[in-house]
Amino acid sequence: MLKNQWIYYIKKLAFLFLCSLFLLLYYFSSRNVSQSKALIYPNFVMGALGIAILWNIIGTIFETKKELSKLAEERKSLTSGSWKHYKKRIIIFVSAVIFIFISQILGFWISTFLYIFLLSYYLGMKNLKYSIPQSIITTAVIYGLFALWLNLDLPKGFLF
Amino acid sequence: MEISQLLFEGLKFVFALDTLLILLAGLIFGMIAGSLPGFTSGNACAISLPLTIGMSTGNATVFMGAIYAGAQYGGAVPAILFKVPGTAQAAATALDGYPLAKQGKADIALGASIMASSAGTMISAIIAVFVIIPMAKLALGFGPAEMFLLALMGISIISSVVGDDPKKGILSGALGFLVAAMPADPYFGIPRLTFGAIELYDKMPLIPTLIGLFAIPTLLSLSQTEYIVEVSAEEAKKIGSFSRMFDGVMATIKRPFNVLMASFIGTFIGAVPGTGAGIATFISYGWASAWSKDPDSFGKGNIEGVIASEASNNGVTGGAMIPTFALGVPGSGTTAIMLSMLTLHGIIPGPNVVRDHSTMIYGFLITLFLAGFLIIPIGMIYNLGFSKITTVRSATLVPILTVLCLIGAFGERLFIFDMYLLLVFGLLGVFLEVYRYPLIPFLFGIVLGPIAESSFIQAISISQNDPKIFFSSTICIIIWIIIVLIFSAPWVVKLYKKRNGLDL
Repeated sequence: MLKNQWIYYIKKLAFLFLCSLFLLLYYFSSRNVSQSKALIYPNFVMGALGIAILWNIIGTIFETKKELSKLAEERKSLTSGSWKHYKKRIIIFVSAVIFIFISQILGFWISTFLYIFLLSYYLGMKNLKYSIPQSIITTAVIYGLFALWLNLDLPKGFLF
Repeated sequence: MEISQLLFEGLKFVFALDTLLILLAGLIFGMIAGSLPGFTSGNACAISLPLTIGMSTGNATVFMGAIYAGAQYGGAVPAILFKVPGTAQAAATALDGYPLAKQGKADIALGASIMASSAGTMISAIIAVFVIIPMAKLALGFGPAEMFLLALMGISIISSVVGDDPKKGILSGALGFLVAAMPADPYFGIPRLTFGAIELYDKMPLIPTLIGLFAIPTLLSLSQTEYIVEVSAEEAKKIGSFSRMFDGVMATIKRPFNVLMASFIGTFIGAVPGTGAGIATFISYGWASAWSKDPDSFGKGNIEGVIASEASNNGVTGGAMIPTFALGVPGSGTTAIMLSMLTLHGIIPGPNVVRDHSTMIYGFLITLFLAGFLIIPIGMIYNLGFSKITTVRSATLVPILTVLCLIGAFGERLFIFDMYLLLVFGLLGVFLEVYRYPLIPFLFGIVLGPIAESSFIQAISISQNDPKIFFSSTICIIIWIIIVLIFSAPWVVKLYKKRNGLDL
């Protein structure tokens, strides 16, 4: 018997748990719909998704069981991915959330310039002679594409 | 209108300066995107989706089609030079292209891939011209029940074919359909799962959804490498002879039968929703090696292998357009994005598109043919400058593309909410990737969901809630039989392999 088997099962099933949660949320939320006719189609799709989730849960449990017994046979231990591997991805993701937030305060120009400059610096572009003009030019090109060509109102801050 | 008349009208549309410029821009952008490992034609089309808002519907279709054709070719360049396929479908090209490059014949292999891709695109566009109208005419007689079943059939094919496990495909597709049904229902206007967000009441916005699913996971994995194409610039400089590339072009022209067969295989497999270029190239490659006079040299640097793979790979572009325009069922992930683009321009996908916008469709197919032709000169120039692309660092590209995606998501409706929605779908894309659930069925669910729902409700209203309507016509029965066959096919194949003692 390997250590932390249950955690391994939970990891393998995590996405299916999320799908089930979504299905449950949808189910309870759609109960407010008073017209029964409006529920026929969602019920059909919910049924299909429910069956698919169950099928996948059973399949995943069997596959994981096989995988674990093979690991135990080969006397290998369970390995887990290190945080370092995901660090860059998480930082990019979180920085995008911060960009959306600050673009409403500082506006498109400042927030886009800062975002491109800081993120490229973090990803390894340490040469400021290159990265500062690049950030300014890119911000201007994106502005040209969206604000001038497509005539869209980009987020405005307290300055501009 | 007759096909000849439609083609004439289409020609007038093509030879406008703005259309030609858009075609060129799309082709070059597609080639660059296709040759970046990890980037597909789907990624490129999703990222450029917001830009099409500013174009006419015809030009937007041309732009997307050119990106598609360019990207299908672009994948061959790193596959031949460094055995790093730019796209999954170029993997078969690497089998013979890379050994040729190692023998010092990189330019010849590149020339052959250019000509084969060009011919594949042109032949598939010609086939599409003659198949789309009869198919759409047949489909115009479909009622709402048949349309719903058609969507169901599309998702069934995709769920079974894409990925290595049908149950994962089915889950991904059903999830896509349910996500598409989150906003208010189209007939009574009662919100379902909107989390109280008014921005979700009307519809599930397509741009944030598609960009999130396609681009965000790719950008996050691109950030893991220092350079986008992980080879030294020195190595990339081994291309450079225009005349040797021309020899490759001539070597392809001397094998018309190989080119034709591979293009046909690509077109017909591309026309089956969800099958895609990955399957087409390997079938075509297998066919070419079986029919070759020198089958033993396949995998060791046979130019016929490169031709078979590339002609079928690009043949898929025209093939995938057939169900997309004739039935409203996308032939591939990229054409699903094209259908979303039509929706953004106010066109409801389905057989009506061919009836109501025939000039645009034929104009588009002519431009696809022209794009095929232009692959030859543009591809040659592009190959000579390819070494520059290997110097692009992910530290430059990732931040720029992330901002482009975020602003693009904002651009559809000018809601800050849509930028957050993009990230939510990006996260979902990452989950699907990590847990190995195929993305394409989910995408089809999102695109086909609203059409399936309205057809379903119309059919149920006509029959006064009697589900027998879905079994009421011969077409319905045929579609049901096809659906059953599709679902049983993987088990039949498994059983066959088991009985014959084949490797599972």
